[in-house]
Amino acid sequence: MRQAIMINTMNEIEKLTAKPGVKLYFWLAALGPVLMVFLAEKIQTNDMITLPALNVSFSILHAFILLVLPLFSFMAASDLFAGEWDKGSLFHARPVNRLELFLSKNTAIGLLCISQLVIVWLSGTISLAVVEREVIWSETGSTLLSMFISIFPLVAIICFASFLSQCFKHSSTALSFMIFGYLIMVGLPFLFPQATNLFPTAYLDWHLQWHGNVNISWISMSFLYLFSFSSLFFTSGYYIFKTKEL
Amino acid sequence: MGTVLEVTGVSKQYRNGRGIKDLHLSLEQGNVMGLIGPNGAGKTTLMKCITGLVQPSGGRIIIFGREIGHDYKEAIRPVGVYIGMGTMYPHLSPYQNLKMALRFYPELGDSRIDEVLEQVGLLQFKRDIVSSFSLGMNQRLGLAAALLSKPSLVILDEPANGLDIDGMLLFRKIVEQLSAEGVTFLISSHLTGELERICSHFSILIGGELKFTGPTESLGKGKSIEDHYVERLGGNFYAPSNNDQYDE
Repeated sequence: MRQAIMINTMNEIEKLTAKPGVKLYFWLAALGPVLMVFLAEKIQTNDMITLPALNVSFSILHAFILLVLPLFSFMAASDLFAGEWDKGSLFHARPVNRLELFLSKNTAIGLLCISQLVIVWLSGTISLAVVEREVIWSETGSTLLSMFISIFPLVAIICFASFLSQCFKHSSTALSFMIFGYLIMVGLPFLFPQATNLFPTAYLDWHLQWHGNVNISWISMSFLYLFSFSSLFFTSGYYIFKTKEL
Repeated sequence: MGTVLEVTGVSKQYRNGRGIKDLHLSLEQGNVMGLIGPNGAGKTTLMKCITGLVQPSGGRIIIFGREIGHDYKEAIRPVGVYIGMGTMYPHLSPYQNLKMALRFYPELGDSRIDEVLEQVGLLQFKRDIVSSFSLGMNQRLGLAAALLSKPSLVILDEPANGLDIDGMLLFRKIVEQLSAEGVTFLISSHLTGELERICSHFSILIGGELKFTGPTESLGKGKSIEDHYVERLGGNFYAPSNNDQYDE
């Protein structure tokens, strides 16, 4: 089983990385932090505002976790599920079963998200070191920890994306609905604050809870929520995937 | 000569009421079975059921002694399949497309890709993008994909569509050569003349039911597959409905 998942994950990554849209995301991950760091530096010089390096690093991470990576997950999921179903290339007569296929598609999206996070972190850290002319190791460690912790809420978003993308037959329709759904999940808590914890989007800044005074019970509760969201969307997504026919 | 494929009482009903009904089919090693029938008769549905791409509503499919519903991975391993155009990724090259399939057969080296591409006459296009290919080139690539894993059973859905004369001759040569080596083929086509040349057996599928199956030799003197087919239709030429595009 493990070998089939590994092989198919490689296949899915190869398919995705050959697309110009995906390459663009990787360029954005590499160059976005550089631009943001130099922009922050410009603001500090012109407006005489002092921005701590840690704030700049977190702002970069936030921009990617809240906006870029969910968008990337939606695009990748709509391509790998709705798009392939539409073109008739979702299933092949190969020695791989549906569970392995579904797992590997999700794993591929996850690995590409992690790769982008690593690039963002490296790019941000190097740019800050160049601008500040020093490396503050404690801050670098904090942002590294945040980067790793941010993977958990992203898993829930990926599961949500792979579930929703299967409800549509065209990748463009799937992508539009996912963006719409995401905006609702982000926006609804502003209108109904009591709904805040109901959506996985509320935990995208989860990494902030791991710094300073760590509230273990809140972290465990958040983890349980994220785990539940991921399991729910993964199971529902797999059920639809398993019953699909070309 | 062992039994390669056994289809027993397989049915698949679609919501529109069409599909295949209680099909029985058996292929022995080295057989080249031609499957003919009008559009919407259920040829592709049968092939999709055999390869596990569609779940049959009932019946059993056994490939080399393994039931496809229970032991999918092992049952499908010795099978090479080409069903429809959508199986290739248009933004990738033939090499990349075949490499993705080859990864599931680690015992075969990368040189196998060049081998099959040469076999179908596409070696010089191995780094081109598939979306730039003509219908005939896509069909050749589909054939290459089906032969890639050195399969013992090859299932091809209308592989001769869009092939030029060279392609047709090449296809015929490949089938003849491999069947002589003991590879079994199940080929659907509308080109009855072509099937007559390459098939040892043929089956007629009409309205989801198998109307005839037997060796090509049994046609009788001066009779073609087409004559046989017209006889089975009883002069009632089948009029395809609007739903044909969904489940041929």
